[in-house]
Amino acid sequence: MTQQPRTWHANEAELRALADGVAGPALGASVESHLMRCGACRARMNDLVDGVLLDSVWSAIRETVEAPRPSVFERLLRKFGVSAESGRLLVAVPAMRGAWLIGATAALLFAGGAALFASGFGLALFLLVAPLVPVMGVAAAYGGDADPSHELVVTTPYSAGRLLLLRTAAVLATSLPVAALVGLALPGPAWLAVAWLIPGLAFVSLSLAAAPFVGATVSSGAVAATWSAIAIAVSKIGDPMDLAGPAVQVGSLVLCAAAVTTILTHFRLFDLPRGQT
Amino acid sequence: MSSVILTGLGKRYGRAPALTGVDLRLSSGVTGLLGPNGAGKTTLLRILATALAADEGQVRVFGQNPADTAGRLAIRRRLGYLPQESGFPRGFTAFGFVDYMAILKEWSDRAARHAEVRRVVGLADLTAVATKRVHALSGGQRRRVLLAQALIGRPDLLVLDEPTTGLDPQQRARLRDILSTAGETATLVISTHQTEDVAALCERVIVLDQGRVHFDGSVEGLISSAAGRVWLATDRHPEAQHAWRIGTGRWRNVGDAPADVEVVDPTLEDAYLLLVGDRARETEKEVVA
Amino acid sequence: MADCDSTDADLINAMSEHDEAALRLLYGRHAAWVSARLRRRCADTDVVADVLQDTFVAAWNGAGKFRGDGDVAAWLWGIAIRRLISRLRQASGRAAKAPTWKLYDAVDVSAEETALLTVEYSDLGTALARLSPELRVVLQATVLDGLTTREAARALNIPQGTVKTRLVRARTRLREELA
Repeated sequence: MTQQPRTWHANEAELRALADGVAGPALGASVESHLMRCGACRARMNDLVDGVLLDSVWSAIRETVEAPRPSVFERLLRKFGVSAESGRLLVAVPAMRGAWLIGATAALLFAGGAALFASGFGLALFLLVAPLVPVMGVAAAYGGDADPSHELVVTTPYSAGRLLLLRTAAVLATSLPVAALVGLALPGPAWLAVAWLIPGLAFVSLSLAAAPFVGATVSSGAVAATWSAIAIAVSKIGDPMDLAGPAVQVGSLVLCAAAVTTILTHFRLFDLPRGQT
Repeated sequence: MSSVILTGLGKRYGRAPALTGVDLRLSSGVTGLLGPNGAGKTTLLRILATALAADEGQVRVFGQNPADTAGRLAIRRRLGYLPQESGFPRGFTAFGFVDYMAILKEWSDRAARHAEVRRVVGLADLTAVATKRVHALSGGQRRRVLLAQALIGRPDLLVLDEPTTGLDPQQRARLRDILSTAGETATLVISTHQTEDVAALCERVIVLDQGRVHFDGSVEGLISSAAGRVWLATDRHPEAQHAWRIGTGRWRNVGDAPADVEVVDPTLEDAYLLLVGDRARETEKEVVA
Repeated sequence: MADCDSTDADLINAMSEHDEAALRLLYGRHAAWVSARLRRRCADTDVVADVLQDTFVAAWNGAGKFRGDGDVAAWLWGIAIRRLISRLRQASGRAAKAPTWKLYDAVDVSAEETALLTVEYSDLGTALARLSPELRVVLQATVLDGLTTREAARALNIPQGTVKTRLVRARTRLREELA
């Protein structure tokens, strides 16, 4: 056996054998265990390993870590077939973040709870709050502070109207099921659970239709205030059930149709910045 | 062929006029927009960037009218815009925000989009902080994030509202490099308070004051308008519009020079100060009269 | 800001604050040897590249969970070897009873190789060389790769009890050798 002089580091041949994959089990184990303790020898491996492979892997790593990590909400959207790009556009506004959903759910649970424990008053409260939840969602998706980069977004070729409808659809898709579930838990006829649906949709389309003229914060605020005043007046002088009655339903349907028509005929207005009409 | 033609452009906020009778033609190259605060620079740039509609006059960008939907879309497809101020959606990283803007600019192919985002993030010298959240970045870095998104897709019209704010000298030099390269083919309009940026970068300068164009010509032309009106003296001259003591201990006086003084070559800043100063005095006289 | 003078632990710390430059530096220091060790355990370059990528992406995402006093090289290898095992297991298919992959070659150590084991650090190597192949692979999996007996059992496709008894036998033999 030819003894080499003892050294504190692995020699070139040993490192090369490891890098080339030709080190047998014993030599390999020796060099590997030394590498785990010796930063200098680890650094020497850089010149011995295929640099092309390392570079291409680095590009892939960079691609992965730089690309924004999809949020929980975005991953959920992907499951429902929404493209990653559309998902990105959705999460840019507060309406698509957890805080808003939690707030909306809390408001509905509160109203639902009130309806369970204090029948008449509580029912009126639920019928008042439930249709407004999607409207507040629209304000959170399109209102003044909702999109802090609004000035930039509006100057891109992406249709602002399309963006608004995309975000509205997401607001409805998240808030309607919650409101429906709370409604189902209420006493009284089952149709109550969806009685607020048409008013809710009417309010959303009304606020959207007025948004290009006065801004979504003002339009949704005005809609919410008007409905609250009507609801309080109705439940003071009459039966809270009237809030879900035929007059409200038919009225809502008419309003909804008118608002949707306005949106469709004035779709291009959304491409202008707020207040530029 | 002019890429931007403005004719009789006017804009008011309520009753206050922001722009009055602006006639301009811009073609490729870098044009600098100078003017005091409130002169209407931002209003003009916002109109060019289709973020604001004009009240009067005609706007044509690449032959398109931003007042009609198809024209606006055509302009936006060729536009890069750096607004004076912009917020950022919460939680987005620098890369994520530029990527978001690229999606809005119709880059639907993911691989191509990411390559483009990486390119502009590199141009804006942000690669090292690309993965950090925008809200954790410094003011200058955030400014460069906005610049990066403006450069996406090498736009034919770049509208940059105070692009040099918050940059240190090296970053400013780098920005000049990027902008002068872009200006070889594209039309660039930049507003700034830094006359040295204009002197270093622009072949053309426009001075705006109280919503009107008061100078439109070459940088040399503006500088030469101040010839003979800058002099050095041992003290502040009472007739000088502006005077300050320079490093050598002498005073640099800007204004109407008296006879027999040591006149020196004016800078763009001198010329700009004189132009705006003369304007202010004229207005004063009109008010008095 | 991370730079060339930063320690590995500093880099991990910077990575937990989304500093990509720190990841680049960490990759520069560790990718070569990690890839070489992976190559010894898997001949497929594509798999090695994937696992190398997964390892550093996992390090990026998990940087916040790194304990400041730990050894970064060992931490990285711990991620890499486990990623490699799960990757190979996936590829071979859960249904297959016998794995179609082999991380640890149970082959005899050649005389030439023993002759090479001359430097000081090679105590483990010399000792390993004298062990029977089946005892040696157990040591490789546990001592060298830092796997638990449970993970080693799955990687070697033998019962956990067998890993434990072989480990005891290997340790006894080693003690005799090194005494």
